[in-house]
Amino acid sequence: MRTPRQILLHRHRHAEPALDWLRRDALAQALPRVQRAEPLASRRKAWLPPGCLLLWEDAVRPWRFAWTGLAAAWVAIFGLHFASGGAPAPASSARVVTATPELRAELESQQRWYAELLDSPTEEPSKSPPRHWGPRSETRPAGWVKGGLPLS
Amino acid sequence: MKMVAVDVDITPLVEAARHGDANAWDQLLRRYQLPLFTFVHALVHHEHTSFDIVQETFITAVRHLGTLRAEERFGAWLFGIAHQKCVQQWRRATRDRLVFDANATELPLEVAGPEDEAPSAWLVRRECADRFVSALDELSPAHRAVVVLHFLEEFSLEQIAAITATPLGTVKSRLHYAKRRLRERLEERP
Repeated sequence: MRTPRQILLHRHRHAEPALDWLRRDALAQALPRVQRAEPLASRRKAWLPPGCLLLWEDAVRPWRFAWTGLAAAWVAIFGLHFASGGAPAPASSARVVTATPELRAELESQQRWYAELLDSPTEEPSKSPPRHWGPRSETRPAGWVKGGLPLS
Repeated sequence: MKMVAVDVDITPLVEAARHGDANAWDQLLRRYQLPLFTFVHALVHHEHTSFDIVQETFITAVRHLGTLRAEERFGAWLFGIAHQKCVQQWRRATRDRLVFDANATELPLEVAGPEDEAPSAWLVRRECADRFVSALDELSPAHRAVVVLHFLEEFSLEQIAAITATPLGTVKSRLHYAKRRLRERLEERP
């Protein structure tokens, strides 16, 4: 006689060597991360926000060579910049153009032209008679007869 | 045949594992690897998938042990992770169609009798072992999950409810139905 537990476990006994390998593999994958985080957590300063350690472990530490390369590239860029004198390159929009008399005359004529355009008298809108707010009988023309034609 | 003991006190091992003790982790996972594989295989019925799920369960357990509050509940917590991964696997396989719940025929709660019978009290004749296994396979995944957890690790109904994320009443009725079905099959004449 056997218990259901014995029957069930016996049924999968052949899987044990594979499970042993799988267990070691899982621990090799997951445990170093935990072991690294543990002493780091114990060294952590009290003022350090809890998210910092996680950020360090997940975002910075795995890509530390990429981050180092990026930092080196920026240092090189700054080095080249300061080696070339450090003066900012003149932007095209900031160029200083010397005003010649012809150009000045042209600008003045344009300004006059704009001023004329703005000050030119425009056609006034047609003035409608002031609206009378009151009974319509008061606005009827003289001689108007209700229901018929005017008498005159 | 060497058997894995059910009632070994794992609390000191879990405490050591919390501090990243590799040896403690190895002992803990070795203690649970075969029952966990048996449970997962009973649910997914595919050997390679079962290995994958067990490995994922181990990795998840190592990385998230901090979320475990009580050391003595480590076993139920580990089986809960495995159960979640089995459900995810079903969902992937059936494209979000929940065969797991659809196949589960529930009994009214009042029909379910008291489940005070210990799993170790169940004794199956050697010649009936195959019939027991095939009867188990005929159950729906929901019933199988409950009865395998009950037989394998002797989890309480509350623990099974927590592992399978199912109401306690549902667990009671599933266990009652599954045991009755198994008993009927074992009593049939070959």
